Amino acid sequence: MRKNRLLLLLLFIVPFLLLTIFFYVPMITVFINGFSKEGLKAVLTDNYCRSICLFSLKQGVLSTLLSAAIGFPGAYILARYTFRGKGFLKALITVPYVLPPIAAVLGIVLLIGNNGIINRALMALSGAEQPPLHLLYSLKAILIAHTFYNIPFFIRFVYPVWENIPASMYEAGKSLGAGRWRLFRTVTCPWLLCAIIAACALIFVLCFMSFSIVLVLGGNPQYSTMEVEIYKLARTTSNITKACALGGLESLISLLFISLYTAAGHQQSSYPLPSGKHGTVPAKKLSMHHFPALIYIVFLLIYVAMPMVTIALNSFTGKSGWNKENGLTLKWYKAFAQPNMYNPVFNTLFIAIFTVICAIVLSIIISAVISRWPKGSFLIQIFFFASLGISSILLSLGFMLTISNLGFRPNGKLLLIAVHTAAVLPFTIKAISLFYSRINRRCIECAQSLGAKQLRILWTVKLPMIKNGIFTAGIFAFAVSAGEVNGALMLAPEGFTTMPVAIYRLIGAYRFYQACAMGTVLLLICIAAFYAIDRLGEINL
Amino acid sequence: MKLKLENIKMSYPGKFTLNADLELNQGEFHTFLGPSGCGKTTLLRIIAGFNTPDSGRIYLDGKDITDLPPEKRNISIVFQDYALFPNMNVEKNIGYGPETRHWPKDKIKTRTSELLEAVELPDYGKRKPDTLSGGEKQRVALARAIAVNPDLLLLDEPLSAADEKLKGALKAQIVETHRKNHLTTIYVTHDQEEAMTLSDRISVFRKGNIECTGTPQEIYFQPKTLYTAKFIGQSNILKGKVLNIGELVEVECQNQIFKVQNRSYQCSAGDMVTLFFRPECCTASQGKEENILLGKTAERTFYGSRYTCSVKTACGIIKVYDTYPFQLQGADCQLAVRPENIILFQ
Amino acid sequence: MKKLLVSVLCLICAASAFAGASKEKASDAPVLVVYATESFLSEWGPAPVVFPKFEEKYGIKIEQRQGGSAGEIVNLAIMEKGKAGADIIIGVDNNLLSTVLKNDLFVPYKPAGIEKVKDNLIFDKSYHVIPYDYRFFSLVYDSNRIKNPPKSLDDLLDPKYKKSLIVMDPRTSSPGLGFLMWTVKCKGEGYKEYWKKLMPNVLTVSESWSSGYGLFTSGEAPMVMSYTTSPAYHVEYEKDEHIKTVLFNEGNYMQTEGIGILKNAPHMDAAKKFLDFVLTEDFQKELALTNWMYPVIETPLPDSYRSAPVSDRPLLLTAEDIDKNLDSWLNGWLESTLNK
Repeated sequence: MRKNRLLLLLLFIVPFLLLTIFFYVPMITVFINGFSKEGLKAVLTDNYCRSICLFSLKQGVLSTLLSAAIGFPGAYILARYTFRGKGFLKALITVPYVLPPIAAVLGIVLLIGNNGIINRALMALSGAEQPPLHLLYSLKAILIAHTFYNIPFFIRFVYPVWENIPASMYEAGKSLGAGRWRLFRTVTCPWLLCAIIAACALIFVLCFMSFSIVLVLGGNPQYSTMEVEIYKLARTTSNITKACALGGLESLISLLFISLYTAAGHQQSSYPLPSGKHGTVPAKKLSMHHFPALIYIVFLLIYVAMPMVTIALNSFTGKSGWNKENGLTLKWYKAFAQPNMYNPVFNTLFIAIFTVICAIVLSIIISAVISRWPKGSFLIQIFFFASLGISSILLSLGFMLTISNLGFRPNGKLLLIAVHTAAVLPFTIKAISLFYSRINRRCIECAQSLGAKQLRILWTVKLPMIKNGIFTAGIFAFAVSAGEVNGALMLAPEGFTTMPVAIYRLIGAYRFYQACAMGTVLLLICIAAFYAIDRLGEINL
Repeated sequence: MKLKLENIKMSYPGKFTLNADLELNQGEFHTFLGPSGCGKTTLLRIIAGFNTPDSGRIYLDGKDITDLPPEKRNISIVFQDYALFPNMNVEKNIGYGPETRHWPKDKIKTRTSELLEAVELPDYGKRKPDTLSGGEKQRVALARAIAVNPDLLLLDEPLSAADEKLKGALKAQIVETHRKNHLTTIYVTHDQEEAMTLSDRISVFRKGNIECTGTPQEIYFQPKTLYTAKFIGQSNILKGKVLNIGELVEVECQNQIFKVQNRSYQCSAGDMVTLFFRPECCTASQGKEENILLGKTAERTFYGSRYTCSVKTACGIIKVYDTYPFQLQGADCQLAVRPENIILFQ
Repeated sequence: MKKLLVSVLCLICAASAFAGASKEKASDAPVLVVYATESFLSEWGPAPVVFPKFEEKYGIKIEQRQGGSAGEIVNLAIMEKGKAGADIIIGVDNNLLSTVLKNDLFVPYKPAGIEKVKDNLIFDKSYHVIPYDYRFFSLVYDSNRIKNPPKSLDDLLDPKYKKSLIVMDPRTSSPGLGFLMWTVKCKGEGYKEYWKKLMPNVLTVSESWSSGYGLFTSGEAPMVMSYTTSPAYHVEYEKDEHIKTVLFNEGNYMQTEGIGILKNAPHMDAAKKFLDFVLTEDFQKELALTNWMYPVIETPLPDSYRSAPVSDRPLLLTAEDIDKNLDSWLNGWLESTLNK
């Protein structure tokens, strides 16, 4: 027993070490290098800094509210209806994460830009000379891009909670004479409130720290987030002091929302799960009668899938312009015969698979500890999620510094897996600990008294019981790892390129359509992976 | 197997300190009885190995098992919520112990089907726990627990979730299982009727201590402590003063003299004592017995097989069982209690 | 469960085998540790072509480290203070010269063959940074949509080009900064006024060249601020002649990339050999189609470079000027572009 505990403790420390090494140490390094009173003063007295801070907040709040408002019916439909292709839809709404922002921007531009599919179709129909639809290069466009990422995020976050509202709640409400609307107001909404707050807080942080999307699609430098200014200070004018001060301010605001997220998520996870045969409200089969739901699904497909589809379509064009004589070509896919195209595919898979394995193993250990020490779970979660609030620009700066201070060069692949693991841990721990804390302790004790050792109990009882958490975590870890760019750029050993990095490099080398092909393959791999993982979750193992 | 608990101590600061000293015979069906939160489940978990006592030793068949982890004790347990593995079908659940012990596959198969037969669920092998009813789950849990021929079987309130009718059937199942397998069994419950009907011996718990241990008859009719007397069944309890001590002890209670068989009580004349007797020990008087009480029937409650009457007497309300409705409310009646049926507590 | 275990194990085995196969072989050959820009190290950049050539020729193994933008690498090198064991930095452009000199990052070295380099390209006369290629910022346009391209900065202000131009943000991208300096060089303090008038014609300000040029490629706008060499790509790889560039009457702002040997470089000899190698034709002739820049020595260019004209009026600001004013230019730019 003692030995087991010791081993568990040692393994338990690993995730904390990972986070500390890859997030907190670089951050502290940067702050030591730059943080000072003058920097802080410079930021706080600077009108421009104040105005971009306000704008960052404003666009973050707007994007969040929009994502939540549009995503809400989607969560309802996924929670309450069954239909053909639901599994595919679920996989699809996870894919946007893996798309590097540059690809997402181009996908959106190809769809609704001046020369996008929709505008050209409208022009062809009406015979107009100028594109009739002006959605891009404004605040609207920023919101569209952010919602493209975050509506799916919101749905993915909220629908499982909705699905699991115990049916007895509704039955109790109905027996007290509540109508549909009243039930929705008094049962559904309060039950979902924490999940919605948590999802919104997280979406806000992601939008708040957005960088390229805001600048490109906003169309004017008046739409700049704090990240843009940090970039300028850290990289263009080398004013590290001020960059650190601004980064610190940004982290502080993010941290506020991260604690809100953690608190709400924590509250949410204390709600009971439905039990028994009639535990949940049965999902209805979606038919032609549910017209609004059908329309919504089509809308969601267009909104989320179309930017990706347009990327795929572009990968079949040979050169700029959609002229007839250009025709369709497979030459960008034929390029996959070259090692500089097929290697990134294998590299991405390699890193992603190992990230998934590491993240899941470590999350299970952390979850085991959290389940024995429920009071500490809040602190543990804050510790992990706080890493999200760190400016990625300062982080990469700190990272390079830390590594160069090491004096030796650690194995790049291992390092990359470790960084990806550290980045996904907050989410995987959350997904797995939710299920882990609900394991019936007496099942474990029964197994123990029947003679099973810890390892056998883990394998035969615990793992099957937290299976769903593991698969959710797996999907997420895969998505984040497959789409991650910064770490892959900085840490990968020479000649080891992942697909998102290859996309950047291809666009950087004029090969726009080849990049589209690479992006399409990335998306296909991810959809296939998520679909497979999702199916695996439904099969009883 | 024989179980011996020697000076088991475990403190729950702010609640109670568990104290236990107990010996169980081979094949005994022993019940821990007490209200919730009195430490009986804790003691069960100590025996199973899930909790470690602060001090004391546990011997199973003469072997000290105090420091063995649960998986090495060969003690099976059935929980209140049955704790079936939701991810395995019934067959796999029952086969879990044998599989852990690396029995050969065909042996596991025969054992599983034999047990399924024994708990009357022969066709349930492939079903998942969530498709079973409460009673079926309980039987599967029982089968799972005994599949490995444990040295000791622990049952933690296994009937508390079942309805009355099912309880009967399940009790029979438990008795049957116990009889067939000669398993030393410990049964935890707060239900005295279960304890009475199932047990060879009962230990009554109070705030972490074993108040008394004995056969159901001993516990019922000759409880060693007032607490036991009150906790089990219905009782008549009166305060009185000792007048005289001889072969019979004479106790005065509100001018009524009770003659009580002397069970070598350590009391002297003038001491205040408590008298205790069961309602069923009060019979309608023929006029010649000792301890005749006069009174009026106050209230009657129908219990199907009998009535319970409250009789207002000079020394207070006395509870009486009646098999037929011979007395109307407010009627005079004469009751008698035999001296050997009265117990004194100091 | 077993099936899952087996499949996971198979995956791990396959992955490990794959990882093992691609493991670099350790060797005792002398090494050269290189910091270079992301675009230089890219699979489609010069590194995969020129590094093997160097390794073969000198028997020195090249170990490439950090990628990133030039500014990023220089910042990093400054903070490392020579402790990280790197030898050279490839990709230091003329804008960074003052930073580099101020921080005393490099040691001067005059490589063999420097005499073949045209004098006006040697932007550091103290030879701390040796130029290896250059290009001009220029307006790139779609000739199908723009028949008569603007010939000067002022032509660009014509209202007929409303929302027709994509520029990059000087705060976050080097072509963006290049264009800003171009306007500063030509307009002096009037650059603010110029940008104010230009903004109505700007469709969007992108954060990087990649996304800006990506937008142009997908037809969002007919004009983009890019390089004189951009059309050559389309001719070379897409056989497409309709993407064109135009040289402005004022001249075009020039970008020169250089290479420098870090102080305390542990492999000084190898570093010097690499600098010599950089000025040979072996290295220079590869730049046109991988880095999309002109070589600094007389080297035959590919046919497609007929569409990549060289300006005879190169513009440059001095390093001191940039160092002194960069912050105020960026702020001035920001002021004049906000709130159109």
